[in-house]
Amino acid sequence: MIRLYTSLLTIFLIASTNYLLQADSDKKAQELKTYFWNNSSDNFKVTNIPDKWTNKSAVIIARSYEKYYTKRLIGGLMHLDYVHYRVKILSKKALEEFAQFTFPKSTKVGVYQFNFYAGYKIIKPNGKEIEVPLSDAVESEMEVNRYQFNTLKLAIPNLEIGDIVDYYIAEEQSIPANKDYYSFDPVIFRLNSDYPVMKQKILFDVERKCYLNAKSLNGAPELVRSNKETNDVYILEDEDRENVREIKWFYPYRELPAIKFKVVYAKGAISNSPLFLGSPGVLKSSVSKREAVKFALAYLNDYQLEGMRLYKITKKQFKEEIDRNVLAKQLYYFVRSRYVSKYTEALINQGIDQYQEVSAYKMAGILTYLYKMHNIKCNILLGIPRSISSVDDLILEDEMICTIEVNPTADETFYIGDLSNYSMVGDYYYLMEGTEVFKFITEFDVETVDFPQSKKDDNSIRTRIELMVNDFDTGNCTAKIRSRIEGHFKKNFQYHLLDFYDYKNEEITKYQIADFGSDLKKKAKANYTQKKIAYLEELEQQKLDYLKENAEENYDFDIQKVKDLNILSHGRHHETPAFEYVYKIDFNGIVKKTGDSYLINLGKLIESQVTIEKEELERKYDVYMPYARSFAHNIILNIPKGYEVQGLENLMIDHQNETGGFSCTAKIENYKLKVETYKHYDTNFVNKKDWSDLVDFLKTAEDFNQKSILLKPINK
Amino acid sequence: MKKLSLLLVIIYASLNASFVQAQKIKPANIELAKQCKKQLADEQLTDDHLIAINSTLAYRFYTDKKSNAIEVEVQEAETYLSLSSNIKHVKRTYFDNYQTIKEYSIKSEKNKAYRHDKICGHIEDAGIFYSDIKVCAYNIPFYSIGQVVNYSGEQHINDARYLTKIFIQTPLYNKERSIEFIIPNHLEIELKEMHLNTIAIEKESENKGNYTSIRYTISNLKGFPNEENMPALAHFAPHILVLVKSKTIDGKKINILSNTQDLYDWYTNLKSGVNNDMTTIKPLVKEILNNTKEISDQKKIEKLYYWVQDNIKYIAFEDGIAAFQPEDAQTVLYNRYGDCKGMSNLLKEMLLLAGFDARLTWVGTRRIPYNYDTPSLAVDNHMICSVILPDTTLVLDATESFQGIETIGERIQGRPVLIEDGESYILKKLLYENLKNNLIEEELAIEIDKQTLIGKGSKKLYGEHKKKLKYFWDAIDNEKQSLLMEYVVNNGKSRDYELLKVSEFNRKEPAQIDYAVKLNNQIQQFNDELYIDLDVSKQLLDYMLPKEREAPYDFKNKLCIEETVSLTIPADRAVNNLPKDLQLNNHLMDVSFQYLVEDNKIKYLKKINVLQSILKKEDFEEWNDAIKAINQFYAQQITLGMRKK
Repeated sequence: MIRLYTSLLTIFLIASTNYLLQADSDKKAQELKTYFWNNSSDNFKVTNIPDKWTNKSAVIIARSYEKYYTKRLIGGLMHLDYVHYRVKILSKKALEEFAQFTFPKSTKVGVYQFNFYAGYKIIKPNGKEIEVPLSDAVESEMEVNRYQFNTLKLAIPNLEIGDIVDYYIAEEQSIPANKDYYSFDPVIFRLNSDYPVMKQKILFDVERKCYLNAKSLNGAPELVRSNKETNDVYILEDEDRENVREIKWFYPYRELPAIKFKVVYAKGAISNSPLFLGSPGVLKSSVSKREAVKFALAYLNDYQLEGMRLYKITKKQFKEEIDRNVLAKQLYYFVRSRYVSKYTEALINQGIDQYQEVSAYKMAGILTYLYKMHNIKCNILLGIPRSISSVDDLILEDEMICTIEVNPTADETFYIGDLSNYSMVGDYYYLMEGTEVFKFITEFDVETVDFPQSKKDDNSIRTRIELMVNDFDTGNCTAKIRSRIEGHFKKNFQYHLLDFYDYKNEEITKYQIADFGSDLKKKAKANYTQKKIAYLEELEQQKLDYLKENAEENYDFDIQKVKDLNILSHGRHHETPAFEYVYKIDFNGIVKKTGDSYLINLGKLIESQVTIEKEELERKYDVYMPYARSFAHNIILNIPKGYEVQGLENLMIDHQNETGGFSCTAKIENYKLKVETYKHYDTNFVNKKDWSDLVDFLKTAEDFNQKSILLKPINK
Repeated sequence: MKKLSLLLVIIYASLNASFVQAQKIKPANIELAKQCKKQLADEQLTDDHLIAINSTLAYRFYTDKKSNAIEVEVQEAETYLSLSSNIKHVKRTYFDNYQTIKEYSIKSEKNKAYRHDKICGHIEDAGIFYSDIKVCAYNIPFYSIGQVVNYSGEQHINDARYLTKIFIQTPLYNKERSIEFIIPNHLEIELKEMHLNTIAIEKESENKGNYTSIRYTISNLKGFPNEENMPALAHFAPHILVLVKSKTIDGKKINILSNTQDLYDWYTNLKSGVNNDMTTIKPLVKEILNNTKEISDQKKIEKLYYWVQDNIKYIAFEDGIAAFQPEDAQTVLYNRYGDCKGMSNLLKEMLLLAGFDARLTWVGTRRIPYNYDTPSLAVDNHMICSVILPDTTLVLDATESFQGIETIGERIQGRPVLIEDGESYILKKLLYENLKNNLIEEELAIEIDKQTLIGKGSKKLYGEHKKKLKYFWDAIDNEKQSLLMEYVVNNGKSRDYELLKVSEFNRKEPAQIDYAVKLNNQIQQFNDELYIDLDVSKQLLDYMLPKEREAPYDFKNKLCIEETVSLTIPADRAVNNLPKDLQLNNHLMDVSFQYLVEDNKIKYLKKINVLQSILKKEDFEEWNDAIKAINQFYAQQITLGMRKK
């Protein structure tokens, strides 16, 4: 009886709690509807758009993003995230886009509760407003490992071109009281959109144990503290933004007005950590050099213990080495072997991707400790990838990248920013090039310096192609291709073509790594051996498959077969820095018959070149490329007996300017036609005023794809 | 922050570590995997890294005592063997309002629960706003070659009519596979075998007292092909159509779907649930046909048909019975959207109000290879509207966005239709449109200016091509619409082309684009000779179909191209060489490439008619021979030498 009573009580409590929750939810929904549609600013009451935008597909009359971080009644934090849009529909494209409205259904993920509220209404040209009932929405289910992520989908009735849609989605997220720390995802928000924007607003209301870091970029208006509110409310207001299309070689965060921000909830000891927290509720819009360095050092110091452990080994292992320069490099390769190579075979044995990348802070923490103990001078370089910001705009911990500058001798400097399977001394993240970085070894001696830039030939792909025409009538050819790849290009090719077993012996010998199988017991070893044999058997085919896919993507002719791959140089050591390999392809599509003669379209052998479309000829923004780089092709063709080559003069090209160039020479030696091309981009940045120079040589290279020579019977 | 991050990293790493289940692989399994890999390599299946060494599927039909419906229990079991390391297999089980997953398990070879990710939910299809079809996807990792994992599952179908077809293949290569049907004697169920003659399958049928067991078994069965431009699987993949015809209860036979009339009766029954209300539709029809007393019936029908096409968006709901039942006409009109049934129902009601004999019409699009001889819900997937006139029957597809009244869309051409006719029905077969209705026509007149070809051209798109162009025009931003038109004529070389005039879209006239062109790379000089390539589009170049391809090739449309290029020969030049003409005429294509010299001009005339929209495997060799000849033709060039003085 007691059990029954308890059960009834439980059922009653659950039922009444559900009822109360539902009532709360309905009340909240009604409050939000009133907030967005009755109490919104005048910007959300506008119905007319400027004449200059009447030919656009749609115009965003107003949009607002409001973010509230407030105390919860039962402790912890309540985060409210409001998005509100008012859009004029001017095309069929926009009509299709806005005729369907999808928003998430409330859910709980672990201890975090997410509630969603939404509203959608149409304003007809005659001013009539039609609210679309959310009860018409259908639920689209999505369950991932027992967590529900359902969405509600609404087909918007009675929507026509010329209508205005006004909709909002409000998200309510609660952070439980027992959490000391919660970091909301950092965001970089662009003020330009796919459609022009008449008015927009971003608001932060941050109170109680919440820290707001935010920075306006590229001329975006600043966040301003509101005088109207008693809370710490910051607002960015903006207007009249054109829509922007995606374009080639463009880092939008460096050119377009944007704001980057992050909010952190922290209490207790963590609020005194070296995070960029500032004061609760107070906007922090700058981070000093010293703050950045303190944060980095705290991170780096965490790896001192590991450094000490390794120092004991290296002190013994490298005691004979007196050349600081050699030692500095040997220490890097030693650390690579300890943190990457040592575990690679185990990963392969478990069937896991063998690529590993040690975090930059861990790498720098261990190496700088070792260098210090071995009396090798080095500095930490701390900066932001150039695709995101300049270091002057540093505001978030997450955007910083750490690199080491090593000066083993007075006239020797090299950089280390990568510790992975294929990395070597001198490798670093390419997006650091040319940026300003903080250089330091302690927090008391920090200077701002420029990260060096690589040269066009540092990042190069050199390809030698021996072309054999197997059958002039069918046009079937074979090319023996030898590729030599250096610099930032290299890693991607190594990832697909260089396997641990290609360099295992070299690594084991040099760095005394125990063979993975040697410690295994008899049965496990037999198992490992069998798996390894099977792995190696399919490895070569996988590499050929990659090369075929790559060739099909890059050559504009019909690839039939890729074969005979041979790796010539691994490119994992600064003394042999190139990754080099040779293979053959069988293909059709460059030989044309005309009368008794044959046109050979050699231009296609330099791979399909970048095309600049007509609409790209005008450039409004500066050109951001990854790095300076070059591509060289050396094409050799045996001239068949009884034929002569015509058209060499068409291949003599030399187009150079400040941004780069394309050149070609051709000659005949010992019955061989030798064609050499060289294309180079001289910098990683081109000012928009010089865009036409870049376009000019790119056009020359693109035209080269069509160049042919004529094989003509002699005496005809 | 750093402590917290590190903690998270440790937790994450330990989670992942437990995810990697160190399994000892039996040497015999590795050996078997190697043998299978070799066998598959011999069959050119080098991309298969996982096989099912055994799979079984069993359907047990029964009549539910409570609901009286014919229901089905489905049992499925598959044993996987990995042929490579580090691969993943996603096992998918589909279900909907009529089918539920009762249970499933994924276990290691030692019968222990095996870690996997599970994602279940509605299928998001770009063309369908909402469908009740759901999928459970089990993402199963395989770490080592020779690893064995067992899957088993049980599903329940609460109305056997919705179990329409069962494919013999699965996504994987099956070493051994069996499919069994257990049918009680009181049910009349026909298993119609489709394309089973393309595989070495065995069938056993055995009566076991009050039920019959029909069992299909097959060894070494390839997985479904996964190739580009495949027609719908039902066109070529071996499968069994399940026709639930009748049941006999207490000696009384009750038809379920035994013939076309049963199917039609079921549709009619669903239709009776539609409550059309003319209150809002009547004034609209009046408004559309206002001041049109003078015009012909055809014009009136056109006006109503085009109004629905232009003003009602296609948004598909396929939710349970709603997948078969039309939405009320007034709801579609208010919503300004509907699916094919709702749009056809609205159009029908509008036409009835205008005094026409309009009827709902069921049709299976070209995705469906069956006709109405097969009483099954799988026989159709679309609804249109027919208008019966004294001398003809017009077929109107309201979901086509820019279809003229005189023609019908490629997707329903040649297909059988079921037209409502009170208690009975009318069966008809739609005709194929003339190939020329889908013509792409281009004329280009060019001259040589130093080493450049300059000229003016005009391109016209008819029928399906015009319709597609209009579709893309509507789907992109206003600012990009001129780029689209340029793209239609420029073969990807936008800088060489300039638009001169673009016609307004019109259902009666072709879409016409006039342009000026300046081609730098079609002409090369060697000594005194000019080598000229007049063909910038080269349709069908390298369009070879690999002989190892499993599936037929679906072009989606038949192709009809006519191009004329006229080159003015400079006064100081003479023709040294003209490419040899080519003519091919067979049941697959009718093509003609011809060069003529007329006065001071070289005329290049190109006609390409691809006569089949789906190319069968047995036609590949003939097709490839034709493509080889076309490739060789395209490899030729015109040469112009200096005119002798």
